[in-house]
Amino acid sequence: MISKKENTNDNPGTKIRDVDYLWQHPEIVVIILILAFLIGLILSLPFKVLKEKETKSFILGSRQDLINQVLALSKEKDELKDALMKEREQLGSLEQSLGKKEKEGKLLLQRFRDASLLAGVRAVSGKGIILRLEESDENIPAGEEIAPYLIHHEDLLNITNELWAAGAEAMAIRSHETIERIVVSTAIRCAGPVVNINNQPMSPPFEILAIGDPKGLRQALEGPGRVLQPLAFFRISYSIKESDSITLPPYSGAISTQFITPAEDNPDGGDGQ
Amino acid sequence: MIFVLILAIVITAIGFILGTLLTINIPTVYYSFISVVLLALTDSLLFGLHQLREKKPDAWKIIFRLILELFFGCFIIFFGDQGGLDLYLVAAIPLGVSIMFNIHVLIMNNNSRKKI
Repeated sequence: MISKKENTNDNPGTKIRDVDYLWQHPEIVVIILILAFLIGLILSLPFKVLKEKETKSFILGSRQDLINQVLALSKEKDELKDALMKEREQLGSLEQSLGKKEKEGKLLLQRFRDASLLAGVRAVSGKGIILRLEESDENIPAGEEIAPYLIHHEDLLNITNELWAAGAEAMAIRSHETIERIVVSTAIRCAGPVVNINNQPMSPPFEILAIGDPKGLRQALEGPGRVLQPLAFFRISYSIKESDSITLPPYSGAISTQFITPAEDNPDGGDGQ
Repeated sequence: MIFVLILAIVITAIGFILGTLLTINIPTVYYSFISVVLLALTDSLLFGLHQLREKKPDAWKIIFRLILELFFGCFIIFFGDQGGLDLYLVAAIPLGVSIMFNIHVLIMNNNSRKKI
């Protein structure tokens, strides 16, 4: 218990008395010290984040190093693409020699050509349409959001989807000097200010080249309630040009399969059966 | 009183050093909760010191205050998150005011004691 004399503010007391008083209430001191310890622990959290950031920046190096890394990797990617195209050319010459040999060989070659045509690894040509999409140069009205006035990856996805549904047989998207064939594994994704198509950054204006019935393809895009109508509302200009001969390059990326196998190799069937 | 204050600072430093050495990782999404916890702990600590200074110590009052502040602070932030509102400041400002009040009381008591 605390004496009446000690329990008043009127008595200033000495340091010894203060310490004595504390010894009489160890629970308060313990609580205060636990709280202080927890405060110390929590205070260390932001510093740990800073430390992690410093470590990462040390590993990654300076901005210039990063730029150099990107340049080196894109150069390597281009070299690999060239090597892949050369391999495909070699494969083409092997096909030719196979087709000349036997009857079965010719049949096999025909099936291989059909498969590669559908896979998009062969350059194709035919009649179709070229849809050009361009963002407006005009100023956006004050107070309005800029986002609807830009071409987004969803717009490209919607358009290509409509074109497939309208019977397009092959498609490619061109942006400036880059052209990317749309194949079964093509991903069209937003990557900040650009759109990544087959992991290739692309920016407006876009040209979508589609091989198929030109009239049918045009009708699928234009008109009330069609996919281009909301774009026109947000001043995204478009033009559709019908052409008798459009040539699309082959898909230049790698197609790798890790998990799929022909179903006949799996006699037990699967969950989808 | 000074003795407890110095001890608290030393223990805070030990906690800080241990915190940097330990590999406790809290996702950044919980940082608004952590900041309210920090404010609640600081407020309860200052309240404890205030009680010691007044020589009216009550451990249960400190614990109850801490639990109450943690509960309401975290509830407000959680409720705001669910409703898509950033109610972090609603929880942080009263705690900040309370801390300032406790500091003020501690300083004032110290001054009045010196005059005597």
